[in-house]
Amino acid sequence: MADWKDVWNDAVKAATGKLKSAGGDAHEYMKDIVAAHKKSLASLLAAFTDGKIDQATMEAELEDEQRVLKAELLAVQAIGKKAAQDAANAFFDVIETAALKGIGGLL
Amino acid sequence: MTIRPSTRRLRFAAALFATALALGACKVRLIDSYNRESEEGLLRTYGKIESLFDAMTDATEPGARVYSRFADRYAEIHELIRVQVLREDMRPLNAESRGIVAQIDTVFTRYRADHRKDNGFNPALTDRHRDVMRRLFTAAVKAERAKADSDDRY
Repeated sequence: MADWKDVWNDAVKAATGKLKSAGGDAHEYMKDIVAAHKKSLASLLAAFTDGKIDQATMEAELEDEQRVLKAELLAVQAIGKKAAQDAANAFFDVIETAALKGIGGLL
Repeated sequence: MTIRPSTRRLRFAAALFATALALGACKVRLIDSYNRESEEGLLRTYGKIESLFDAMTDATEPGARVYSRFADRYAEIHELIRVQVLREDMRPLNAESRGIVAQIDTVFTRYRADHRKDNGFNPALTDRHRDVMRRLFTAAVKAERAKADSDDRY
């Protein structure tokens, strides 16, 4: 029968594996978000400075920029939620499998 | 009272069985499952938006920028967005996608209203607005794909 200390360690390893994988995806996406946000603000300021847009337009565009950022952060949040869900389920799957194996060994 | 080894074994098996049963019955659910139809709806809508901005970029003369020339495209896209809003609203554990599509709806509604009100648009903003839409739809698709399990294909 499996040692429960090993089972516990395997369960933690399975959970952290899921978190690490999704953490990388979220990190890459965050980098893209920051770069796009920076580029977008720079182009907006340039358009305003060059007189291509007025103050009211600039303010409306800045509001939209906030909306985009909010949407992007919601996507990052979805990635995080799925990672947490997968991690919790991977953790319990290992324990469940070990419990079922233990029953098999006893019967 | 001493418990015989065979009884102890049985009790332990029963405890393991209860543990396995409890763990098997309660999967953790924080977010809805991946929905292919939802992703396809987003991509289809985004395709129409790209087409709208292509047409706007091609409208080099001020006379070609009047709202009536684009009204049908706006209406079609807006309808697709509203369907997507409804689709996301109906799904449980879906606050993120619901929030993103709501932002898409708000921003696109403003673009349409401004074009209608001014009966034209500022060409200096066309690329910017296309980029805003691309970023919003990227966020929506990413949020949908985040829900996929390894055996889901998108």
